[in-house]
Amino acid sequence: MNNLKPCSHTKRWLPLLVKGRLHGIVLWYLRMHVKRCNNCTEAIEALRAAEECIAAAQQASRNGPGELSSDRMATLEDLFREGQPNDAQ
Amino acid sequence: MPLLELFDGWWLFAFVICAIDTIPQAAIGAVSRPADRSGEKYAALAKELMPRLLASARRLTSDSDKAQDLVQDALIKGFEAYRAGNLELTDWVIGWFIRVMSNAHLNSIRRETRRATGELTSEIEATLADSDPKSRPDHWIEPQEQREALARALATLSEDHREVIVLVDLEELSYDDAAATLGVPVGTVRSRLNRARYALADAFRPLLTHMEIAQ
Ligand SMILES: [Zn+2]
Repeated sequence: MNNLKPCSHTKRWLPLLVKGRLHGIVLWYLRMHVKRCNNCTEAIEALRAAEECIAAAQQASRNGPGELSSDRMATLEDLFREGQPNDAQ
Repeated sequence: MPLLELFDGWWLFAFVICAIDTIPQAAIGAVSRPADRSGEKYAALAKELMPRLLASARRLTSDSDKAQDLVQDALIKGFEAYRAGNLELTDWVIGWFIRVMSNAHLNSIRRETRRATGELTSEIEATLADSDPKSRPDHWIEPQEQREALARALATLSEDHREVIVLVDLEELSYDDAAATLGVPVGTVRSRLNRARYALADAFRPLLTHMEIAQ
């Protein structure tokens, strides 16, 4: 059940506003609207919280190995060669 | 005259038989016969996709062993599907693997959390309640906690909503590739994505008080 209740005419645009993808008069109007609309403000805060977590996950994913561990690779190579897993879980 | 018609009929019959006989067998067998699907071709694809798949798995979990397990399991599942003729090595095949990994991981979170607490949202709140916002002026919670909160929030969504968020917002696939992966029109991706973004945001709504304290 979604408890966020943004106005019907802004609903389509708020996620894009949070992502910084709006420009010009649409951006100007939404900023003006949000200032005096509690429902849209609450929706924007929640959308922004989700967006920040997505950005954190994307940032973190950039650090780490580009290959599986050698034992996992060996299992896969056996599987691809033989067509049957040896010790795959 | 009847004799000529009979002759014409035999001539046509003979022509069709010869034509069928000359169709290359490879062309008939080219329609995804499982026996033709070599491990070599799949292994080359797996190697090419490996860094991308590992990065995708790390977006879902901060546990590096778990990320490796997700990739290995997805590649095994993919090989089985490929051999069975249920997976084509298309340009957008990456979406298939991302979908498999995210469903496996988020469904396991859903099961574990329900078993432990009975409620997913209370678990998300617990993740955040453990952090002390006052000690972090720049962020409402640490990045690792944000990743965990995201995974738990995604686990509360319906599969349709979760998949479109993972593919488009988290993995940044194009709408076209997401549509091809999900087997739906691009317009459906757009409308489903908007609803999914609000559903995800709604999972974060109870946590906004924590953010306000932190700011
Ligand atoms: Zn409003």
